[in-house]
Amino acid sequence: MKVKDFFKSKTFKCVLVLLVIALISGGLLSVFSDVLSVSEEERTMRAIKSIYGSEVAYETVFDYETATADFTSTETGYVEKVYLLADGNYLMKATGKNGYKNGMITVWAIVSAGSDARITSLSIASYDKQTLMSKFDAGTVDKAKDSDVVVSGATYSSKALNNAVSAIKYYVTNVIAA
Amino acid sequence: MDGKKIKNIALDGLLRNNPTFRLVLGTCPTLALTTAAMNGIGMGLAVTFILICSNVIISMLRKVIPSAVRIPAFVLIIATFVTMVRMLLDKFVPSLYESMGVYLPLIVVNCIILGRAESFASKNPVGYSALDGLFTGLGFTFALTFMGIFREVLGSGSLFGAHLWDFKIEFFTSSAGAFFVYGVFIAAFNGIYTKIDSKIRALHYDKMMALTGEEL
Repeated sequence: MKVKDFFKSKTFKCVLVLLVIALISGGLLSVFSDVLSVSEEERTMRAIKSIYGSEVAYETVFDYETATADFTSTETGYVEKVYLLADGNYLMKATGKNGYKNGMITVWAIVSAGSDARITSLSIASYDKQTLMSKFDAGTVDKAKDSDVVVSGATYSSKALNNAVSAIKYYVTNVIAA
Repeated sequence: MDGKKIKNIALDGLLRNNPTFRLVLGTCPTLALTTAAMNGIGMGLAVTFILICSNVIISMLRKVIPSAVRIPAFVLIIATFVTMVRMLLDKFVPSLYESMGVYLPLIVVNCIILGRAESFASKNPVGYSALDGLFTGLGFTFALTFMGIFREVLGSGSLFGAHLWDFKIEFFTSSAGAFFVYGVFIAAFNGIYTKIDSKIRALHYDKMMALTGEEL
């Protein structure tokens, strides 16, 4: 087949049509993504609002991306972000590893301030590869702040949840309560 | 546009070929998301929006897209609108975005949308295709909303998130309950539909007999 014939062929038309649709779709989506992107600050404010019921001012006191201290993470989980809220409590985002299929669970926690610092509330922020998250209702997740919760049929996910809580407790003991 | 054809499109989408209760399509989100009425409405409206948009674009391009690559082309178009809806919901209705979870991106492979693109939008003009998307989507939305209301009231003792009473039968919010309720709704819908349809047919038959004066 000559080059000229290829450009007149049905195959070329098929490829061209798909390419044009993909290019237009890609262009449209990149514009949409730019306009509708949700910033990290907005997500944090949403988490605060879902826990407190209203917006509360905060300042970032720890960020895993930029931090150098290693006491902030354990082998099975790590604290991603710590925010100091206007009422003196801390909002922490932590991820627990070793879940189902080596996936992870990320949680939001409210930690009270002072030497008797403890987790006062816990909720799921996001998860990865965990297929049985519907087994974790709000009550079960909240119970994980006090003890090792193991939900039958979701044992590995329980492990990841407990690892996230352990990472928070590690930070609380070494930084907030210290 | 032909009024009779519009009436047929509306009746097909809402009743005669209702995607959920007559064609049993889009079963996965129907079973998974009808634990609450609000989820049902959210999913239904998201699918309606995507159905209208994808039907319009596919109908506009129906003479340009070669038959050999029509399915990947349809999927590309549908996936674009699904991603747009995801971004819109994440930005403006985050609670609904979170409750719909994995079922939102899975709209890409929803057989209702691909089915309407293949059987209607790729063969009909833009206006009719948009109406087909609208009425099929509304048929799906009504189905999900009714199932959502039923399951939420009996399974959670609430309606649209508002607490009604403490009595609840948790079976209705479980996976097994979803299959049970779906089966009951399909049976009820088809039972009522068949009865009404046969009455209308009998009426038409009598009218024709009166007009022609002989048994048909």
